[in-house]
Amino acid sequence: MSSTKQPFVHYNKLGGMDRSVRPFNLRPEQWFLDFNMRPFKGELRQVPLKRVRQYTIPFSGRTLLEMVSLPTPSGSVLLGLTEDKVKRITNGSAANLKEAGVEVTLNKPASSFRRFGKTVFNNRLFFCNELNAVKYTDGATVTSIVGAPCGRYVELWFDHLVVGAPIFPGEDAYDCVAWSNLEEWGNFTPDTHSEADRYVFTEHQADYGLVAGVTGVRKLGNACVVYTASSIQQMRYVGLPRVVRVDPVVQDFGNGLRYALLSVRGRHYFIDTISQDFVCFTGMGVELIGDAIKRYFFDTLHTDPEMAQRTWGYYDRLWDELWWVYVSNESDRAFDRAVVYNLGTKSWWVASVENVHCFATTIEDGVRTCDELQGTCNGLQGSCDRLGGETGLPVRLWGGENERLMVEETEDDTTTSLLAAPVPVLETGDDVYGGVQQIKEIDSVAVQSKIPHSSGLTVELAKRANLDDPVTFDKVGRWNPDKAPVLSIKPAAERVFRWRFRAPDRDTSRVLIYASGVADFTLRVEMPSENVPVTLPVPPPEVQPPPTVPPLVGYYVVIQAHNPFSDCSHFLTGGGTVNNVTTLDGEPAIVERMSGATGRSFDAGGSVEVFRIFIDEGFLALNTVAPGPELQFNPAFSFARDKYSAIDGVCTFVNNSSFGYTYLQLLNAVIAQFSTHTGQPDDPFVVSISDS
Amino acid sequence: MSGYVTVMARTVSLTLDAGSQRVYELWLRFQAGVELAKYVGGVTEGYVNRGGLPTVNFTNTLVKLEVDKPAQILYLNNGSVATNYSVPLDYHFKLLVLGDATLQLSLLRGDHTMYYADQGGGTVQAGDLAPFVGEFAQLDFVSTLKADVYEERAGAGTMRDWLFSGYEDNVLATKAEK
Repeated sequence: MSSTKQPFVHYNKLGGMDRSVRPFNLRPEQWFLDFNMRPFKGELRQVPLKRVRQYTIPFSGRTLLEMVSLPTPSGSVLLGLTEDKVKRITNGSAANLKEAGVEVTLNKPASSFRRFGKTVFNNRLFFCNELNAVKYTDGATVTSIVGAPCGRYVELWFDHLVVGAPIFPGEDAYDCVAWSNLEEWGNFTPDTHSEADRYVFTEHQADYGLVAGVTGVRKLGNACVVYTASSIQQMRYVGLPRVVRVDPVVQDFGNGLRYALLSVRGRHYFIDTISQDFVCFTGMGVELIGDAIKRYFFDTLHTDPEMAQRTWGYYDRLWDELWWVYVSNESDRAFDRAVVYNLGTKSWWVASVENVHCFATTIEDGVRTCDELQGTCNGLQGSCDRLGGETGLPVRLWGGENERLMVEETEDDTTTSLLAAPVPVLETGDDVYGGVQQIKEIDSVAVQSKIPHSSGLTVELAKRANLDDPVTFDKVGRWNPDKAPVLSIKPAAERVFRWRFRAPDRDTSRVLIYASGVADFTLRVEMPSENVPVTLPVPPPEVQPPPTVPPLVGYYVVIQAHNPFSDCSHFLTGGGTVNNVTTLDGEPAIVERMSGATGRSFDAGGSVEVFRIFIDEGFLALNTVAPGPELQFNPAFSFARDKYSAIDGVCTFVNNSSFGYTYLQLLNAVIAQFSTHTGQPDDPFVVSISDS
Repeated sequence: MSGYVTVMARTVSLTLDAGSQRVYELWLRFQAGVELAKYVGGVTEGYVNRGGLPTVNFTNTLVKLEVDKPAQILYLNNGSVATNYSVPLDYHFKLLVLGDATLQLSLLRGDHTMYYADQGGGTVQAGDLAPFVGEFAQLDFVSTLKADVYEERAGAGTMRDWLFSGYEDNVLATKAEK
């Protein structure tokens, strides 16, 4: 028999995946499964892994539920919302925002999951949820809108505050949208002279709605579009007396997942849970876009409605992709899966996610405050006028559990520093190579690929006699570009074939850790009483003999501030008083002023200021110097200024009147000098401080 | 009673033996008879103050739980008002640690001059522990909750930056029937 062996080429595989047709009817460029592989701009490349960039508060137990990169006149400000805090996130740290000087604590759900409705308007972030009335923040402070209700969604529309699914005191108006009076965002009381009112959006709801009430509110052009599970209705502003005209635009389609509505480039994208499809609303009607993915999505979506309702979405402008992140039926509560729609190529693929709850693109901030500076003053680099600037690097951030911020890997990251993720998988459709009657034999496959961080690809092949036979993959070999471009396999003969490419064998199951990992333990520490407990009444105190002055075992650090240090109060916050200095274990450093007027303050414009600071083991421990003996203050010890003519160390501070150095910064700098001190405990260590 | 404050410190610690590559969410029970202290900064959750610093106070007992991986400090006797007498504490809290973390529980600045008895009580009895004359703090492991499910480090087989350009399969039509 003459050989009819021939290569079948499959090079254009950039069409994403498609589950709308049977696997043998896939177009040549499509996959049956495209998992964690992004088709974009002529390439099919793995989605970068992620690493933890920072925890805004390490292991706080809170979750970053929303992030917004807020435009402000002084640059972008990254804001985060957790269950009960509003945060301004900077590079490496975060600060909880305050309202009227008091740190904001939002009402936190006891157990159920709640995201926030949010919108950005006039450089401010407005937010609310079912437990918290609408507030807004400009990135510096938070302001409550007195009179505004709680609600699931918030929007600013023609200078009205619009709240979707509002909750007024004593009334859950989940099927309503309420709006405030014109430019009076706290007034929701209908009146002849007020534009405030509400509308009940059940009029065009179908009787087969699975989700009750309003499921989305978002502007589209001049209209404010309101979604229920089975209808889309537009509100148009017409002014008094009717204020708003409501038009049903689409019936029998609606948004069924409360946090899944995306507004991108003048269109709305959402998920209809009744027809089980992904839908685009153009303002005039709907387009169904989810043919290729709907079967995969609804087959893998968690069967618990509460988990399914956690599904949320975001738009990744870099790749022009819509991501819908959801809890799959392989997870118990963590977000582990996403379906991705590329708006440019109109193709779908799927990905794993690392329990991400929010996404933001922001600009890398420079250091804005002295508290963010690290190291000693004389170790700082750069110039003062660069403080607070932006480096101009866009950073794509994902937020999640334990307030962690994640970024995508770079080439410089070590593999072990990255978060694990299920490995990518590419699975082809069925191929009959010209006809299902013939039996074919495959004995090799040539793969064109590059994998810099892997030891090759696992190549699997499924063969069947009938298109409807169950699919079973057999590993036929490992393809390694370093060894041979063509992988010779044990000849497989059958009528129908399907390939699968994935990473080498590895346990890719999710790491769910339960009680077996940590053994039982008890830590107990106690200080038994040496005395018999006294009972009431307490006897009058005994006359104690004069206390014996213990020998001096302390360390004194003397700070001399010299001219031209023109204003020593720059060291201090809160008016320059240095009374309340606390070491790590709670013991105060004893600070005494040794020159000039009475009190414990640096004088503005003083010539020479001498302070002695008595420090104890706690302070040393804070600064990683080996702890010394417990120290006692010796009141009999006295200092003379001329005693400190010998200077043991020098600290230079940048004298910038815009910033006050905190006393802790000063002491840390001094103690850094002190760590080199080799003198005896009663030998004062003198540090001279001056400005630059 | 003496007016002289005896500064004392007691510390116990242990190291978990569950591997450094995993993060555990521990469910812990804290029982103690200690004074309450005020703390500033950090995150306050009832009696627990995560991070922060003690306020200036010469006499009040500090109960500190230090974890090295990840580095964190919790104060376990946070009170809105510092008390000069011991009070019974019995509560649960969660803690995220790496599997080889060391937990160190410390009683700092314990003193023998103020007892719960001063308030008309007796010795302090907290939770289901036996009454104790003096100050004490006990941390019990209750269970391991589910941890941060994706914290496991990427392993040796991890694939990164995979670029796939296509494949060719060599097919021989045999015309043979099976």
